[in-house]
Amino acid sequence: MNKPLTGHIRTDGEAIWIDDYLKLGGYQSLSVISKMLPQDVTKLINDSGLMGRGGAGVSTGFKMAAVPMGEKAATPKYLICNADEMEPGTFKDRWLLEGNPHQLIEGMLVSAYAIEASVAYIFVRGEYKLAIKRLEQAVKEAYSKGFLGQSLDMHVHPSAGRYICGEETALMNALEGKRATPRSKPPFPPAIGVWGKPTLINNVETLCNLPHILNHGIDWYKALSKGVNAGTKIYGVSGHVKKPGAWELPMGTTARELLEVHAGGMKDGYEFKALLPGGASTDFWLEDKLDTPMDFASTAKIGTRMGTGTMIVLDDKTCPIGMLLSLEKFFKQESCGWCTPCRDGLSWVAEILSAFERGDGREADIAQLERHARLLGPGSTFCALAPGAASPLATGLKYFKDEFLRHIQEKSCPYANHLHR
Amino acid sequence: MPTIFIDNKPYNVQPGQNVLHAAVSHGLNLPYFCWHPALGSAGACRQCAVQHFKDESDTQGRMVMSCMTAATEGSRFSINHPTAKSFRADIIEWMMTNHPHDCPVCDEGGECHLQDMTVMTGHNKRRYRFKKRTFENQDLGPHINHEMNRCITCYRCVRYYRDVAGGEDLHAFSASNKVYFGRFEDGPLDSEFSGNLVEVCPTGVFTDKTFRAYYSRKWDLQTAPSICQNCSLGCNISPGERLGTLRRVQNRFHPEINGYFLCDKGRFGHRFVNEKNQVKVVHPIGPLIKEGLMIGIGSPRASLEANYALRKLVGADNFYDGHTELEHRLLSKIMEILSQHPETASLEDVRNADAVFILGEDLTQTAPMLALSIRQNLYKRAQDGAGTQGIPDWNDLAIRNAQPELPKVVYLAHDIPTKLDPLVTHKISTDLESIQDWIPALKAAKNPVIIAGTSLGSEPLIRMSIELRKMAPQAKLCYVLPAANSFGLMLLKPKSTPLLTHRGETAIVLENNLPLSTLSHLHNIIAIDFLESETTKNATLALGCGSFAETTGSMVNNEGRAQRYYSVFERREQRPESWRILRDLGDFSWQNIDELCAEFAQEFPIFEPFLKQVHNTQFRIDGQKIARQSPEFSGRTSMYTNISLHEQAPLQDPDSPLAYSMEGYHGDMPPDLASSYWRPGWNSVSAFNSLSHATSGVKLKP
Repeated sequence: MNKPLTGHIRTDGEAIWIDDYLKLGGYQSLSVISKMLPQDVTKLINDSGLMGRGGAGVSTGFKMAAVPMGEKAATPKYLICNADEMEPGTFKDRWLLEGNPHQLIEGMLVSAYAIEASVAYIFVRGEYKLAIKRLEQAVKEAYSKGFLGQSLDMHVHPSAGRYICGEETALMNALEGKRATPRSKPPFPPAIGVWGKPTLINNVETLCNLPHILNHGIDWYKALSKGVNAGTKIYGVSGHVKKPGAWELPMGTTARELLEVHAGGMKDGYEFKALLPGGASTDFWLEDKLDTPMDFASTAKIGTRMGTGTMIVLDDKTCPIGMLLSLEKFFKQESCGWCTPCRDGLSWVAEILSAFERGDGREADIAQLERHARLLGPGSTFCALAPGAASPLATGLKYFKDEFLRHIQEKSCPYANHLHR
Repeated sequence: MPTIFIDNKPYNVQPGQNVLHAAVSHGLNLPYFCWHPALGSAGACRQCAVQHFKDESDTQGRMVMSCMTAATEGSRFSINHPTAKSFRADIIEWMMTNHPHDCPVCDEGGECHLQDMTVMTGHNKRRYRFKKRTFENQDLGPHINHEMNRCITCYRCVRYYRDVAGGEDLHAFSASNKVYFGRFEDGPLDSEFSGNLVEVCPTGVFTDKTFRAYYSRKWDLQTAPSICQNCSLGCNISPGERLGTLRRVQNRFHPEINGYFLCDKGRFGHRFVNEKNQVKVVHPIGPLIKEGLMIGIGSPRASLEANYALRKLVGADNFYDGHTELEHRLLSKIMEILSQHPETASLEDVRNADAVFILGEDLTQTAPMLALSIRQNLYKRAQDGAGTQGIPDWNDLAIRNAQPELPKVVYLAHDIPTKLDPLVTHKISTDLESIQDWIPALKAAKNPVIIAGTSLGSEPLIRMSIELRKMAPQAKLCYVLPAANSFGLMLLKPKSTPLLTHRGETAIVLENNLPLSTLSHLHNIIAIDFLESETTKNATLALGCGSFAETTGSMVNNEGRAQRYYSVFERREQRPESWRILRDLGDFSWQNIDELCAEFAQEFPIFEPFLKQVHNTQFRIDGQKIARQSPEFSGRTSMYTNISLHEQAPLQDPDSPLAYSMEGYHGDMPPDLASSYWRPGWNSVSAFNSLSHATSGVKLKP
């Protein structure tokens, strides 16, 4: 079975409910962990090489090991599933949530066992109405079968809807009913998290990996990958391609394979220009990077990031500045307003890009954008939202300089059918 | 005391400080917004960026926010490093993208932290070429003006209003560059401490509406150190005057009393100084021809000096208390207790106590700053708790995340709902039947404070305070008294008013509006007061005196701390101090306050330490009197041309080392003489960071 996470998901759009899930071998990992010490589960996850699938690619085992254990650890400990999937172009978690909610619950039971958490939350994007409905149903079923309610209580918490809630500390503030602004770090959530207690926060896809690692072992898990990092990855492609979609593939599949094989290549009449490999907060890639294996280590090696692994493809008929405007407007709108560079810097960036799109771009504006791309980078802001927004901006300025100049010279957007006015 | 290096110079810093606090305490010009000494660090504005070096050989360094970085022994930073310096200019440029260019018509102009910081970073050229965002303002009631377009989104207002003062009706709304600080809808702010928004806001979003009604620039205000007259706590204030009217009151830092904040009563409760119905000044007054028995009724709102002069005039046997009979009885009991246990609690003691026991005082009403001190106390407990988790005292966000519920250490006996109730761990009724439940907590506490007072007129409550004190010798007592100088008046040992029935032929009533029941016993009244009252209307002779804002005198606050307030201004038609009126009536010879106090100290040695310590009329710095006006004070030659074209000579002040002039000393001075915060580049209240935080006033033992 080379698609452990999605192989069973039904093609008719219905979810796998408890009886089917059990028939498919669901919740078996619980009997595996019942014979293990919590610390051994953490060690196994650590040894499996599982890296967080939310975009940052931090070792899941490392995060789990940071949660204080033993009698002196504060209680209750919390486990939170970050299901606030709001990254533009990213729709992989939704597939898992809607298609196989019990897989997530099982993964959370494994994780909660390892860190001795007694309360779990699924913080789910508010717009994911169907996912919320199915999660609630699945949680109910898990309670009735006794998987939940013994050592772990689980709540489904629909988000009130801000992109920043995907930032784990802002998520905790939102969960506590506060403004969704990020927290200062340190202290980090494993030490002081939600309601001041030790808290572990993992992405949906990450947690869904856990039952399979427990059931099949780490050698099997590592063998799933053809890249440096272990396991499978749900990749996605959107844009003007023949078959946009999401697929569970071996970790380390190249961007070219995704684009040309799985997405069926560009739509007729469209040429490939660039892509954002993993949501909006990653660098643009040109043709030259298409053969890079899409995993955390290989992308880091060439000085860029895979992010969520769900790419947005830019073609030759779409205005790159229009695309940048659309992205930066999103980031500007979703800035929580806490720190100055993000709050006022992104607004400035969006204003300039709008000016270009309406034919009012000036040469001095390019320098201003370049300054912002530099200033919004890591180290100067409170959280990673602005550095994420700076990634496409910085690389966009680098790769599409001519397009900016054309906008200035022609005093309008040269793309007749550009999508983003 | 750790040593840190800033731009290669060593600085000694307070243990546990962050780098920003350390730098501004040393007077370094490091701009910031979201940090405030009473709010801690938030890391939001990114204005205080500095370069942090690993060691001496590291020349590159890494940019950090100084407010979020601990000043640990040997650590090295640079304010002048080009990376951090240009980043700070970038931050200001961002903030200014939406800030209106309305300084000339903005109330904050001239004492605006944002103006100062903008100049400090050197940002002076606008590159943002797009429209500014605009907001609609709200009507926040009679005290606070709201102008949201000026907001730079530092979050200080909500962090103060909600987190420090416990207010709930001001919040941050929306997100992105449209974050809006306001109420859910128009309406007066609920908090009794809303006025501090004016000083907490670093720019002109929240300004003093009462000041705005008759506005003056900061540099045109004449100021002097003063003491709040609105309750018995003796908070230090800085009133400002121009053209013969009192325009506003600002906080004057006192480490053991009010700290950085005032209550709204103190900040806005001064308008009576400008009222029209002032008692007419009679001048000159000849000596009183004494016929028959003459009694004097003292006043808990008049100065020690005035009460002493009255006592001297009528004689100790005929000197009566201006408090009511009931108050007199309660106060006598309190004085008796304090003569045995003089260790009273200051507000700072309350802020630091590990348990607070309140007997029948609704503090938000009777002594509001005590209520705020209790809120601050609970935060300190949270800081302590977070400290055990390795979180430094200044890391406000982390403290609040680590300690989501403030620990409750407040015990209250009261029969009605009070605003402190949500912070109270155990509330009982004033019949004190369940007081036993408090005893274990009281005995276990290391530095508890027991608060009682006169507001309910209950002697059992006061007796209980001493019972509790006996059970916990480590506890400090704190009494809320009826008026600003109740303590001082009681030290002059007045008799209780009911004793005066049918005794007085003539009664001199000092700054007091007596109840009609008392007035009806008096047939020949000489009343001395500032504003007209029933007493002055019933008087045979009413003599006008000056208000606190135009006289110099001393008061003793509820903890027994004697403090002097100085005249802020003299009206063109001078209103005399009550003690000068009484001097003339008694034909005494005192030419100034020093001469009166010399005699006063002889008769009441208890005041001697205070009168020795207080800066008398002879005190000078660099041979100069201290200027009440700023060097930029404008209009000196023309402000009274409606009266006379001749420039008038500055008025002389015989009672203080302060001058009614822009000429005189302006530099560092003792805290009890400083009334305006300023140093080069820092025109706003933020200049207080580098000032002396020494205490002042002298605690007296009854």
